[in-house]
Amino acid sequence: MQNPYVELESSAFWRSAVADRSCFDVSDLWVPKFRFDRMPIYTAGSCFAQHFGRALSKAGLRWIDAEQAPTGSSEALKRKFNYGIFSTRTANIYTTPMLRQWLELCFTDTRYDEVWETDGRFYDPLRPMIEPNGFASVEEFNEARERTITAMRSALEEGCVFVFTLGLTESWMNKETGMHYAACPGTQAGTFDPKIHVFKNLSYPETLKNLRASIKLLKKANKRNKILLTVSPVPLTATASDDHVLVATTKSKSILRSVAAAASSDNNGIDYFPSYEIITGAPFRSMWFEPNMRSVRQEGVDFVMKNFFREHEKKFGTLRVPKASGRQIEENNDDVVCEEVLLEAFGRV
Amino acid sequence: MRVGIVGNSHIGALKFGLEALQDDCNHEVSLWAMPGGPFEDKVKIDGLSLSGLPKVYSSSTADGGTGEDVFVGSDYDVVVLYAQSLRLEGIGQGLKEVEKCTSGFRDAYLREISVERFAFQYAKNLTAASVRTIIHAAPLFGEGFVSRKTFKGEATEFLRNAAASLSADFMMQPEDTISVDGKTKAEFLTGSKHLDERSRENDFKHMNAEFGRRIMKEILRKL
Repeated sequence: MQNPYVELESSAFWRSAVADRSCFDVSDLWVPKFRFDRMPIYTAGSCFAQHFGRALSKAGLRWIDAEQAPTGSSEALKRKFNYGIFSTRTANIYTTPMLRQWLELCFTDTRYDEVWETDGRFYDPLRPMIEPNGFASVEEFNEARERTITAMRSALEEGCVFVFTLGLTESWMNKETGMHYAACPGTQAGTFDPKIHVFKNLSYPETLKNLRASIKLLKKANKRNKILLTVSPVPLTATASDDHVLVATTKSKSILRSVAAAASSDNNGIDYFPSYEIITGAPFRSMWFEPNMRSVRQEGVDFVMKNFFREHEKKFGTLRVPKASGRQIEENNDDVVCEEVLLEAFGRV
Repeated sequence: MRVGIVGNSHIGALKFGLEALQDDCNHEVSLWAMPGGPFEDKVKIDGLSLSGLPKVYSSSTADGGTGEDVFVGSDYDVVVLYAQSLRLEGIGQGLKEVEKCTSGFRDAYLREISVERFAFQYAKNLTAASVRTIIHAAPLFGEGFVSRKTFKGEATEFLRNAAASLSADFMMQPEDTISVDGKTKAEFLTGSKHLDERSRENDFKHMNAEFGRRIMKEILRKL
């Protein structure tokens, strides 16, 4: 052998794989480790995971909708109350500690009992916007939380492909209890108290540690569970890190991307799908972003999913759509539900 | 008395029922229908008018197809809103399922399946203009139809109360057309009629001319 590069595939070389091709012809970005048409699919994570759920459902795969709205609910009402957005009503799970907390609630005795009260209404720090006007009482809050936990536990115990989109490293937490919040208190609900509410920009080891703890719980739920990781290409709405938001975004996404690589390497049950690269990669010249350079255009989502299904079929053949597929999510052109974007309201012009 | 009946494909059975009752009907009854869904996308409410809703039959001429497609509620002494979005099985199922939801969702949902529905929105305009209004439930699924949604009395009460809140009356099919398991008896399924007068095999949702006659008879009795 002259050297190891001589025997590499063309996809290993930038010129043949990228530079000499139209960006629309870039392929072989992903070689799936396992099939998606044999198990139900549970989606969770940050905003971008919602696109996955919709596309998988549209393709006829068994997307899990474990907390369905009552018969006859309109799509508008479902969205307002976060039904059918993710597989259960967790709302966006932006960070790995948030994922760990939800899974601890499902599979351990750990409890996160903190409730935020604003103007006589009660809000869940794990999902402050799940009810547009909060819960009427603590009892109602507890019942709703328990319903989501039960639905999530049941779905994960039955076995699934767990699709998780890593979104953020920046988090707010209660330094006394160690609980991570879905949002900074005072932004969506609750009251900010600088004595107990602290900003945490999770490092690579912290993010990975929380993800590994989550994976352990997912495997404990059902050892057949597979995991597909993606990284959200959506930049931060705002940063509390003192860095410029663009610099903070790059740092955050770099950590998440590295964590996804570390978690999926050398593990046949954990895969990484490069939607992040497809949306943000230089060959695509930011064409998939809206003019605000943050929101992803539907064409971008479609291109991501086209790649997903093409590579899946390349490896496993024609998709086998189950006869009893999960309830299809209604297609609409509304934006995905992204609570983080509310931070924009606090920005100075 | 001038009676305007507004609905969807279920108007088909009423048309045949009305023809059968022609000699006993002293009222001027006209039928207006938009079959297929979604009804709300095709028919628009503008005060007392409904646009995009074809007139399909008139008892005075025993004919339809006049090309009229704007229904004006104030032209009638009584308006019957028949079947559209008013399926008791679905409402009953929803009422059961929503018990598990939060009060915030429940309130929004109950409004959505009643007063925010097309028939109720239009009924509100009609009753505000002192037009007598009857909201009539869709026929129950026919015997033999397998569904997790079954008829419950709660749904009737719920819709009756919602109609009363708008000063409208509420009606559903006569008790003796309902089987013990809460379905429309099989005898009313045979030869069921859509608005296009075609019968379809295994149609458990649309009823026949005899059913239409029974419904029309009850409506006329109520006037």
